[in-house]
Amino acid sequence: MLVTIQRYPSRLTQLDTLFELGNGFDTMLDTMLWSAPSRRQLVPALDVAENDNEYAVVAELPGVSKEDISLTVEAGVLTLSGKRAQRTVPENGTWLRNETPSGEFSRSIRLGNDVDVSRISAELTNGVLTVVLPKVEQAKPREITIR
Amino acid sequence: MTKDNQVAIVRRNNTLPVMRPEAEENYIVPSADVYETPDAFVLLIDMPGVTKEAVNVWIDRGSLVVKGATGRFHGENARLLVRELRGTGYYRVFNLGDGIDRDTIDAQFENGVLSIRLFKNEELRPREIKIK
Repeated sequence: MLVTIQRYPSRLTQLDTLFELGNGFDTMLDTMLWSAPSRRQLVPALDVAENDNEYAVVAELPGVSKEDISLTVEAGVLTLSGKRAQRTVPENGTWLRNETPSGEFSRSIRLGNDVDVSRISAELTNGVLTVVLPKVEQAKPREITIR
Repeated sequence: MTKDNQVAIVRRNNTLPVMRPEAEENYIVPSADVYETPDAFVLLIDMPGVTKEAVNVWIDRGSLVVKGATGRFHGENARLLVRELRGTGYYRVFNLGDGIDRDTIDAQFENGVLSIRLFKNEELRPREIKIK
C-alpha cells in the first residue's frame, strides 16, 4: 500500500537518530539519504535488506502497472517514482468507500560506494517492486613490496 | 482480465463465527475501495505481495472473508536495514447484506489488487415502474 506523508515524520526522526549515533553499520544505511517529498506526493513503504552479495529494496506498489513506474540512478541516488492512477467507477456507479490512495509517488535512496550500479535489476510481481543492487567485488587486501 | 486471475470462492455455512486466528495476529487489515452499480457491489482490496494461489475468499454466514499470506519478502540470510512493510498477511471481513446473490460472486487478482464483484438479488436492483 502506498503510504501517505503523515507517516513520514516519525520515520525520518528514526533515521536521523541513526545518523547521529553513527552506530557503525558497515552498510548502505550510513550513507542513505531520504528525499524530502513534496506535500502532494505519496511515499511508498519499503524495506531495505542486505546479504553478503547484494542489497534489496522492496516496495509495495499495489495497483500500479510496470509502465507507470520509473526507476533511475543518478549521481549515486536511486529514485523510485511514478503514479498510481485514480480509480474510476463505471458511469452508472457510485463510490461507497475509498480507502486507497492515488497520485504521484517518489522516493530516493542514496547508494553506498559498494553498489555495482551497472548490474541493478528490478522486478514487479503481485504489486511488489523488488530492486536488487549487487555489491561490487571487494578489493582484496594486498601487500606492497618495498623495493 | 483473464481467467488466469480468477480466485476461487468457498462457502462455509456451518463453521464457527468468523474469528481472526491467533496464529495470524500479524495480519493487517487491507485498504479497500467499494463502489456500487445498479446490479452489483465491487470491492477493490490492496493486497501487495500475495500470490493468487495464496488468496482465500470465503463466505461464512453473513460475511465475506478475505485472507492472504504474503510470506517472506527477503531471503534467509538477509539483514534488514530499513523495515516499513508490516504484517505477514491480510485479513478482512465484510458484512454482506440480504440482497447479495451468494452464488454468483466473482473474484479476480491482479497487480496485488483483489477485485470482488457481488451481484445483487432481483429485489435490490432498481426497477422502473411503468405508469399505465
